[in-house]
Amino acid sequence: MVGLGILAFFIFLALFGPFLAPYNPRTTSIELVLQSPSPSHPFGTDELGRDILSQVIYGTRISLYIGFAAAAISVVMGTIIGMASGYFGRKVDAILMRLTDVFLVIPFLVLIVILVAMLGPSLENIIIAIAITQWTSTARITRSQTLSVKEKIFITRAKAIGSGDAHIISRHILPNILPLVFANMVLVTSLTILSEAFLSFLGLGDPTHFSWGVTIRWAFVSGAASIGAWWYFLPAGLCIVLVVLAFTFIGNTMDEIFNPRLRKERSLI
Amino acid sequence: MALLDIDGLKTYYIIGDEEVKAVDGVSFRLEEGKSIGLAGESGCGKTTTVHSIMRILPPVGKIVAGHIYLEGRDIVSLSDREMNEVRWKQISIVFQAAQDALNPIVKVEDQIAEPLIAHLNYGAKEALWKARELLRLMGIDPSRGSDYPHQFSGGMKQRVCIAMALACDPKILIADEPTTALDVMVQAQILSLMKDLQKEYGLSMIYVSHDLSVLSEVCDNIAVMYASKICESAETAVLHKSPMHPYTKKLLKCVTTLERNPEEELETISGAPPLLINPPPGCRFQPRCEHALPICAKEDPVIIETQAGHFVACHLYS
Amino acid sequence: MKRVEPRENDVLLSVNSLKVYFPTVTGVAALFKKPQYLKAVDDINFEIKRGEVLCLVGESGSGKTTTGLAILRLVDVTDGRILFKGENILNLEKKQMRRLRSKMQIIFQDPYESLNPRMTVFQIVSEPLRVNRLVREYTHLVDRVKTALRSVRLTPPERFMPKFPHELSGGERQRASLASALTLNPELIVADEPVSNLDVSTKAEVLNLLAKLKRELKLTYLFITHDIADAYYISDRIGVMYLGKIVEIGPKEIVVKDPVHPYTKALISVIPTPSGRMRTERIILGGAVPDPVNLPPGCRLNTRCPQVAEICFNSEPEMTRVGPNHFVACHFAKNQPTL
Repeated sequence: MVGLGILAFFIFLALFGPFLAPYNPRTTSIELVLQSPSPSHPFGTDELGRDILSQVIYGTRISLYIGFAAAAISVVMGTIIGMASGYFGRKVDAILMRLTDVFLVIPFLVLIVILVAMLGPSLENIIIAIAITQWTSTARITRSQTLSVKEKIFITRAKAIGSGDAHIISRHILPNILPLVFANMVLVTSLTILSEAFLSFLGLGDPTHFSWGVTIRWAFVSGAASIGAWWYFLPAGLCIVLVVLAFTFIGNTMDEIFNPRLRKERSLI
Repeated sequence: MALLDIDGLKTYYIIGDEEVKAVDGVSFRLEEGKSIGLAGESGCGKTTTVHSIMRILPPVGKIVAGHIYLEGRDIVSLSDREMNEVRWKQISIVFQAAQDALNPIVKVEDQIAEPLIAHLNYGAKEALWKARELLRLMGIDPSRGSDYPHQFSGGMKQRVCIAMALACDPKILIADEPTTALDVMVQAQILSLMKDLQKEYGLSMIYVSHDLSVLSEVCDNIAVMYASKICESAETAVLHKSPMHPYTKKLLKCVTTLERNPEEELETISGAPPLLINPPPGCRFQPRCEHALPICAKEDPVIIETQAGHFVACHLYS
Repeated sequence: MKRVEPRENDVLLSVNSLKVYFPTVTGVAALFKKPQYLKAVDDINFEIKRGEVLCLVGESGSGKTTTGLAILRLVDVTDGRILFKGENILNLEKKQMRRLRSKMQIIFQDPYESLNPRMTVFQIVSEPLRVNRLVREYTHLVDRVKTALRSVRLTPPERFMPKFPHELSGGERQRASLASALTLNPELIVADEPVSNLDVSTKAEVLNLLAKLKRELKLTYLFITHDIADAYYISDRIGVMYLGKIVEIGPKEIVVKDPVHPYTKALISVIPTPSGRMRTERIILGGAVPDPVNLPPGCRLNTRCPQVAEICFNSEPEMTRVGPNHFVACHFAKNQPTL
């Protein structure tokens, strides 16, 4: 519940940000350079005099957008691969699982740096790069769920009445693994948001947009820590932490709902 | 004095605001050296009854009324610690599908020895010796005690569970559907074993099953339960020859057997048992009973003894 | 159940030398170890005439369920022929097989597992029609579903159509499965332990329903069960299986009242009866069914048979005719004392 509340808050910010932000984050001002928080600038200003609160609010939009989009793509990819692997088995399974292993083995950092370097740091490319590094966990989970659903008798029945593979996968297997896929997506989203922050911090992010990671990067680059301008990097960092925490709470609760073994013991009758 | 005397037992499951009246006024007696079968379909309260006797109900289950006299002593009022002296040592139980609940990483003889060491303070060596003797009693080669459960077949595992239950020499053994998951031939072996235990060692038994034929093999008396009450109880032969309660009569006719004429259609009982949360007043079987009288919908029939040892709860006989 | 004499030469299903072997060593290990097989079904023969009910009975590991699945090609068949109306279905292409599936349907043992928990009764019962694209218009689909639900006495159909499996009782779920199977107007129904998980009174209802449908819709059943009393009630003929082989097959009255094979005799003798005792002594076979993977040579029962002799360890018995339509696989079939 806490998680949902936090998330709802941030989504609200993302949607209505531009109306709520007191200033245009790009507006620079020489006089207001690196001011500590004040009533007119609750989060202070950065080295170019730009309002940090506004930056963070605008950043919410970008960070969440990247996070959700990347998670969606990666979950869809992972689900398709996992289901195909689990349902068709044998050769298809072997090939797809080795492919998954390859992606698992390559260090995340290396992979993502290479991808972004190759594709260029636009928003869309970042989303794609993050998605490519995250689909493996979904693939594994959906594969094992598919394997267990495949053994159920109603699948044998579906075959007996003459269903084709497409029908079985879409009408029988998918609906039964969907809850787990959603739970997984929640956790993946928290990872994608973190990944974006990570990328931006390393300078691989899209510098034309504000995101929390970008803000932190600017803070780092401008030496805010050494000057003691804590208001520069703290807000963005806090936002990341809160959102990831929110997703983790939600994910855990969903897991409890959908995985009966984790539910608190209800007495048996 | 009967070995076990259950008098007006009521066990309810309290879930939130609702009470599920799983056992609602059950009474029967078990004489020493005899066996009684609790028959009934799923949900009738037979398992709850025996769990009440062993006082192993889940936290939401409570005995709200009635007495369970074990050799004259009411065990309902015993504290948990006092009950521990009774459990396994005077009354013991073999659960449904117990063979699947054996610890897979502990040797079989150690599992049988465990209650001896824990409850009766046996030394390790003594306990092992007794465990092996129990295996022999079950028809299993004692040297197999050092094997693990997965090395045994289903029937043998069940026998190990029975051995475990008998470890502390209880007076009463409760068996809850012990042969349901087993093949016919294995079931025959176990039933034969149960009968021997009763005959040779004077073991008293309460046998729970939905299968009337199985109960008829092993039990001296059968009590038929319906919707948390006993509707009829009698000696086995009497129950088959002259059943009195309409439910019993129907039940006997809707079971397939090798003795009945296969050309005759099986009888069925239309409808379903009532929900036990707020059962309607009157006899629980009344909505499905072909012989229902007007009084049946209003008053719950009281159990009466129509002939020696033959009890019925039905307005047709009162 | 009233018996209807099937017509003499109208054989609907004929199974010849059926073998279903499952390899027990798979994957990479298969490269190094000698192949081992679990011979679930090992060379069985039987036929079912149109309108007949054949019951395959046996204990666990007998192969009866695998036989049922094999007939519908829901498991891979290792060897043998399965002739449906004279045509070997094992030779059919995938497309032809799909068309044939509507003629042979199956209902399963577990009413809780055999229905997709996320589909409504309407979707489940209409699925065979939709999947095979047999009905175009939605209103026709609804009519067909209602008819099917009425025939299995899930009435009023409108009440049941929107329900999910968990909202139905075990008996109602089995009936929904049956309704679904019937929408394709099958000729043969394989029923794999359809009443084993049901309460006594529900069981009687479903058995009676199966008998009634057989008469009304002129169905043929292969009824698989471990309960010989059920088999005695519903079948015309009974086949007894042990470790992948049919040891005895014949008219039910003879198999139950006058069995020849030692295993059948033992099995019949140990079935609990309400009266408590059958007139004959109980023959309880010791031990348990041996490990099906490493079967020793000779007759499968040689580890437990009360009449075992040397020949039983050397060669497997052939199916011998011991009476009209009555066959037994035992070296001593011809000189068995009657029960």
